[in-house]
Amino acid sequence: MLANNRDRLRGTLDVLVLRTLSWGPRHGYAIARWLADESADTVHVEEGSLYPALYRMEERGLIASEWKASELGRQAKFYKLTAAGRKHLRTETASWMEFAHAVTRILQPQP
Amino acid sequence: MSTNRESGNAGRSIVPRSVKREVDDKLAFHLAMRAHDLTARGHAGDAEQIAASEFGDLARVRDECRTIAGRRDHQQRRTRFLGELARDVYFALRLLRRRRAFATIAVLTIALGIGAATGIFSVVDGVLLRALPFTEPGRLVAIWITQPRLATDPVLARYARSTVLGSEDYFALRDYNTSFRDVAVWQRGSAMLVEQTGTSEVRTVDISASLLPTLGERPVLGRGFLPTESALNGPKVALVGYETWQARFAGDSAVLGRRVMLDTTSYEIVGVVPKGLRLDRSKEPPAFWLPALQSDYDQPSHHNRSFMAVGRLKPNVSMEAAQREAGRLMRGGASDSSLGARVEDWQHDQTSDARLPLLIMLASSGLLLLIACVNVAMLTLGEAAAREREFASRIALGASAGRVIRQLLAESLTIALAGALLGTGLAWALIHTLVALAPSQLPGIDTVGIDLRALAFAIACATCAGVVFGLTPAFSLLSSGNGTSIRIGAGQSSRTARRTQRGLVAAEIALSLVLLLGASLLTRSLFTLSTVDPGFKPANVVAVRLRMSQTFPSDDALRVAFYTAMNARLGELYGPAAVSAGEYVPFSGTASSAPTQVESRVYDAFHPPPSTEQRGVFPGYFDILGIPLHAGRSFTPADAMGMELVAILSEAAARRDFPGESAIGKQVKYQGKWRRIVGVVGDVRPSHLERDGTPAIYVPLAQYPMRGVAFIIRTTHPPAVLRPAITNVLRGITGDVTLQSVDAFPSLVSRSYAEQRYRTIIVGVFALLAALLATVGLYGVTVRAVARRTREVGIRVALGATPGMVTRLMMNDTLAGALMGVVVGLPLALLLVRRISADLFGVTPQDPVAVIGALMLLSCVAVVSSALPARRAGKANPAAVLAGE
Repeated sequence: MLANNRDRLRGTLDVLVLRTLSWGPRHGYAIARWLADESADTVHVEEGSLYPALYRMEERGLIASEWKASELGRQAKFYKLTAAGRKHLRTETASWMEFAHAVTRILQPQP
Repeated sequence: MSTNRESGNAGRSIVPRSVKREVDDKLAFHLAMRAHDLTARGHAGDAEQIAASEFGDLARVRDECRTIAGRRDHQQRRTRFLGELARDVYFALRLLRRRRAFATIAVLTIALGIGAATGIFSVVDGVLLRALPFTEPGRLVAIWITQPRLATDPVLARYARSTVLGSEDYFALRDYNTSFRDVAVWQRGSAMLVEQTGTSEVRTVDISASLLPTLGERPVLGRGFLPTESALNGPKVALVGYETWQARFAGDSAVLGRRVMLDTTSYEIVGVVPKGLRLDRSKEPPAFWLPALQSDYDQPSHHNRSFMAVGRLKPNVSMEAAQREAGRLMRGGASDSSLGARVEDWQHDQTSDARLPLLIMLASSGLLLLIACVNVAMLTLGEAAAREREFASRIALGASAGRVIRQLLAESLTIALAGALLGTGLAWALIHTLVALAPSQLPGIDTVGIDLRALAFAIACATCAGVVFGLTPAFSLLSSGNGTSIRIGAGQSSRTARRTQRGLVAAEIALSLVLLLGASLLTRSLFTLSTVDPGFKPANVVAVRLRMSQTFPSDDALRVAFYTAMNARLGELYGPAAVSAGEYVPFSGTASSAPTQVESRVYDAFHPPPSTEQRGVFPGYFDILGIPLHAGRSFTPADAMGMELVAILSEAAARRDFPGESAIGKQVKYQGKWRRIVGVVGDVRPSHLERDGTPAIYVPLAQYPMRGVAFIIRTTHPPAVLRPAITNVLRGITGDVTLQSVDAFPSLVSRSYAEQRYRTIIVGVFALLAALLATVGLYGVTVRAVARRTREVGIRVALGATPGMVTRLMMNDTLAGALMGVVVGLPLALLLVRRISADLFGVTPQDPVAVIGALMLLSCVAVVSSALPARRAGKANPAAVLAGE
């Protein structure tokens, strides 16, 4: 059960990250901030768990990274979507919507 | 959760430091940024703690990231490596296609080396290395009786270390040992298989019932022998060999219960032994397996030692302990207190004679492979020197030295692997030749073939070879200062490359010298051996051996009648003076000895009568074989049964028994009867040219007729012509005797050193190939040197150098290398050939003829192969050369 939850969470996190990157390249910290700000208490993620997700998606070829200077002048790794990542985002979004739609319909109080 | 952490921990050690640092940097960056932001929002004091708590379990995240990043890094490296490798190989192939001549010569050379090495390795592997095909073969041991007392006996010395067992020895061992799980004995034999279609000789083996269990084998059909069957007067049952079952009984399971007629006994087949099963790894598995110990003759009361023995050691019993115990048991019933036992690994025991010759062959093929490598290294170096400019510009354009080395390695490995492929084909052909020509002294050779082990060996050879001849030029090039090569240009060679080239020439000559010296020593040894006087004149004499069946009369008079009739009939065909008969004729593979006594000596248990080779002969025997009569007279037809018992001694026997006096007229006790000595003849080497003539006693066949008689005929007819005629004669006289073989004596004698000839031919061929490779290699080196120095030559000639001076100048480099090779190679060669001194006959390892011969051959190689191209340089027209530049 725990594993299932974790998997679902992880899958969700991946989609969220991909979504973040769909507006342009950004580094890990910026992604974390965005996630924290946008979804404040709804989706509570430990910021740390973002990083393994990033590495994993990079390994799967969903995102690519390159070194760039960050706002503070330090070198930071900037992530961007790859073509595969874009496609993954599309299919995952669609299936999430479908899932959410189905669950919503079931949970909607019958008139 | 936990799985992730574990993999993270496990992976930590192999994650490269660069990856770890990248992960750490990234996480640190996050925390620093967060702290920075928090500070900006007013959390001045505890910004770091808040950042850390928001982040979660830092250690776990770090581990997880490191594991994933490390895995990814590894994959990337591999992909990059494979990509570069593919590119290197692609480049190498393109290059080799462009330099087709170079590639062809290099591949052929390597193929030759690898082919020879792999072929010989397969033989060594099959005969010496591969375990016997039985369960736990390491526990199987051969058991021999040792008789140290015999070590100095000229007739029986070979029994000192290895005497076969008698049934009393076997029973003692079987019943009282504590070291062996099983002990078994066997005895080779042959029989005439009588079928409706005719009779044919088949190989048989008599085994104790314990033999198959000892080996851990079971019949594939039917059953093995019962202990009651391999016993006195046991039932006549037989096992049939798998191959014979297939060939003669069509693999039919109805073979069980069928009867076969072997000689005059009918056997019931009770089982089929597994495919390929044999005990001595000689070329053919036995056709029939019969129970041993059934005849009265094999019982302990006869003290007849004729069984080979094999045992399976119990676990945790050492060979030494088993040997001690076996020795004690052997001494048990015997009067000879010096008796002992020798227990040795079965395979080792079977192959002990083949070991040194095979290792000599393996070493020589290894030398040939090395020489081939050196040759290709010289070739590659020459080739690479011509490409100096290419490499220099690549390095100038940013390629690392490592990349260039890898490029060179890829080229050499491509050549080497192509060579290995071709070489394996060569090895296959070589093995066929080796197996076909193999003398019977190489046990198990017929199972030799190219298999995965041989293939692995070839590839290992190729890889080593590729690295050797790829790296040599690579390092030479790089150390020659690649940066400056651009300025120097391809027209002039660097000093380092020349030095390496000279070193390679030296190595080639040194290695060739070792091989040539070994080969010339073996050749000299073989020549010495083949010219040894065997004590008789084999030319134009044939030996006709007969096979007496069980029904052959045991009555002396009947036997003599048969021998006389046969002698007379053959005499009618080939002339009476050209036909005689004798027992245990020399080089026939059979011998027999008996103790002899003289009147003047006293014998006791500590001074037993000496053994003497025994031969019964008809008159004319000494004349036909050309054995010289030294004193007294030969036998005549008058020395017949019922007449005075007479004997003739060989020189060695006369010297031993009657030192300092004439043996003629003296008495000698042989087979329980006193005989008067009427003559002394020259010594005859009984079976091997390298063994001295042994003391022998000759008695008239008519007075002591045994069973092992061969007829000797002086004739110029070849055996193939004689065979049908003699078969005809036999048929006219008796049905109890069949023709076993007709052999010309010269071929019998030369067969006795077949193994020496075999190894000499192989090593000799390898040495000649080495000389050929050296010639090609040195020629190539000089051609290149000349080509590189055309400009210099042109200037020298323009300045007045004579063609002779130019030729000498061009030869100098090669000859200096060759000289260096001789200086290094000669002591090395002399040191190495000492190891084969045990296999040399009549020559010392320092034999001057062999040494000088090898040196002269190599000098010719060096001078000829360097003079040819150098002379061409000397004749060059300076104007043309300089214009060409």
